[in-house]
Amino acid sequence: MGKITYQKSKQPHPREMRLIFRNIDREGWDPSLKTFLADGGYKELKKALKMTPGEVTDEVKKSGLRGRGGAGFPTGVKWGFIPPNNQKPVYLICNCDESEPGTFKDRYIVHQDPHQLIEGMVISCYAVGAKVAYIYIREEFPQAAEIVEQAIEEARKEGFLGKNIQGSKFDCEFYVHRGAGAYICGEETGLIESLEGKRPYPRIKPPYFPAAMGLYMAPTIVNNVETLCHVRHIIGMSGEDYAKIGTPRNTGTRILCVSGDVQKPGYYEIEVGKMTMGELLNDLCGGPKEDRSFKAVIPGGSSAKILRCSDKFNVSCPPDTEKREISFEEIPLDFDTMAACGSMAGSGGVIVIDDSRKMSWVLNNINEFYAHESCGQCTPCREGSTWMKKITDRLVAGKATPSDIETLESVAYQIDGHTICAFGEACAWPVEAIVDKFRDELMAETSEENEALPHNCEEEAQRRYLSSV
Amino acid sequence: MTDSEPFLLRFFAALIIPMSDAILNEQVASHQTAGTKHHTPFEITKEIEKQADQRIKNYPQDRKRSAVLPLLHIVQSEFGFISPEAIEWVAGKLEIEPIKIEEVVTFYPGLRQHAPGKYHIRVCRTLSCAMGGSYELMDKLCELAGIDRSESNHHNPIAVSPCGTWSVEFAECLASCGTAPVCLVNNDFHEDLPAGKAADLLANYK
Repeated sequence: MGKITYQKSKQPHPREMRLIFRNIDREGWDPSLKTFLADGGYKELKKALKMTPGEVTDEVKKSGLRGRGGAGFPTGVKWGFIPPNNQKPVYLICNCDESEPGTFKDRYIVHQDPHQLIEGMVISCYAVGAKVAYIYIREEFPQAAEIVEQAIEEARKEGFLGKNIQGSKFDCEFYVHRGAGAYICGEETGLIESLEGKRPYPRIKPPYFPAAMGLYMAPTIVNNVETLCHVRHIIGMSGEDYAKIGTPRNTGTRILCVSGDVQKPGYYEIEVGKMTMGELLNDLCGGPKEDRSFKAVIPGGSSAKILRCSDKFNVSCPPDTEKREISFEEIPLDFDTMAACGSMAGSGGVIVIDDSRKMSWVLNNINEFYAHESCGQCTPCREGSTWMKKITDRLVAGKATPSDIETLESVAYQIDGHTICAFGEACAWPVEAIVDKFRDELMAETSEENEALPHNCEEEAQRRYLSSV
Repeated sequence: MTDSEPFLLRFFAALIIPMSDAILNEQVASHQTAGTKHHTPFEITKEIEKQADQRIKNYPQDRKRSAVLPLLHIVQSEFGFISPEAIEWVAGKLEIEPIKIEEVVTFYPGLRQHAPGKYHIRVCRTLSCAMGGSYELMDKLCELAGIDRSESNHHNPIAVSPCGTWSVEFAECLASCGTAPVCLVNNDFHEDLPAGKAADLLANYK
């Protein structure tokens, strides 16, 4: 097997650190087991099988790995939530329902490097004691489902899956389960309901924490694709060494997916916290488009609160503990500082908006997404998301009144915190943040005179009747 | 008064029951579209039975219901959409009531109850793709394929061309924001598709 190099157009930037995406868009790379083995694959699995499950979990805890799906919850801690005296079967679910707008990292892993995921998953199954794992792949990745199923078949033939894996007496089976195009299936309890063959209405927590009462009411661990891939590298380099990458409490690498108004959109894998927002956007992504300047950035998928590029933030950036004022471009890309700046690192989907865009249009587009994807279980979210959409529809059409902006804000605050799952926050936060930070711009598009316009079908019918008599 | 109650009950029941049946049938029904002729009518073959049994085996024996989505995917990929007969078949396979299949079919945007065109194009409309020009792409595709989207809405998202070869639909985030705008044609993914490339895209499938 020849040397594998990167395709010319996809050369990693010198400031990147490729761990998970090492093989993505490499020349001569394909998703077959043969290529993966020639590159040293499944070595970490053999190493993990010589350890005890508890030792594997400890390594993951030591590494400080935080979930890459959106919430950033420590993975090792999540694994530890399985009740110690559990008698039921344990399940592991890989969440590949990548659907947060702005995020496109899992797509590359499942299409191009499925064995990396499988190896990470077998190690994770061994650690948590799961004998069955499901890979929940979104419906919009039909080819990925085929590729992963083929990879599972190959791995089973070579004894990396199935009965008595590599002579360790550990049995494990993987199955692919395809979704059907619903955003809510990315929520872990919604995903479990979907896997049980029902409508994916999320379950209320407590008591339905998946680690205690998950799939078929048995303990279940739900992890994102990228998170499970990291497990493989943690075992490879040991938890302590992994923790040296990045900054304390924000360890490892993470994949940032940049889209929107930049010169070079795409994926960039960086050390967490070792790069600032300005470096990412200007050095790696080549800056704004010609004759344009950055206006706002959504840093972690469309549900993260928007950041204005002209803002200053008073936060403490690790390793300093003192608070100081930093500009937008100086924000380090980690979980904690991003939260301190009033947004979240979320799923790593960075959407850049330049000064050619109207914020009312951006907000309307986001609102349409959430109005479409609300599952309809909780009233505030089901009704509120469509109300917000109706108001921004009026705003974009130039028919809104100044009081509409207040109504919009009040609807958002009535959804936020009043729903079973985090979708409520996901649909309210963009509205809250955009109204808060771009109030003047939105207000300028409204007019007092629009008060006279009919705002619903009854009023419209009334007006038609009155004008006819 | 007490005597009239059973009568009243029966009277209303007679009114309500056939009505609700009609409403239910209407909800489940698959309407004829221009695309119907491009899909084979629903018929279960041995091959499909085999595929279905294989999928059901992926779940614990007493949890057959989990195979709802895999079975519906088999039906949809074979026949283009999910008809009332297909719902009955899946329900029979999994030994649950058809309404439990119906509620799943009506929930997911990825499951269709009416025939799309021979080539079904799903254009991503979410933020990054919209910024990249997916609305312009959609307009161009409709113009080239002769599709009228004026009747499309949330409950009826798919618009089919008069010849039945093409159908279009706006999809929510297809997770390839870095190469916007993007679309799916049946199972093929296409990226970096400004409106100018719409004609090339359609030419691929003629």
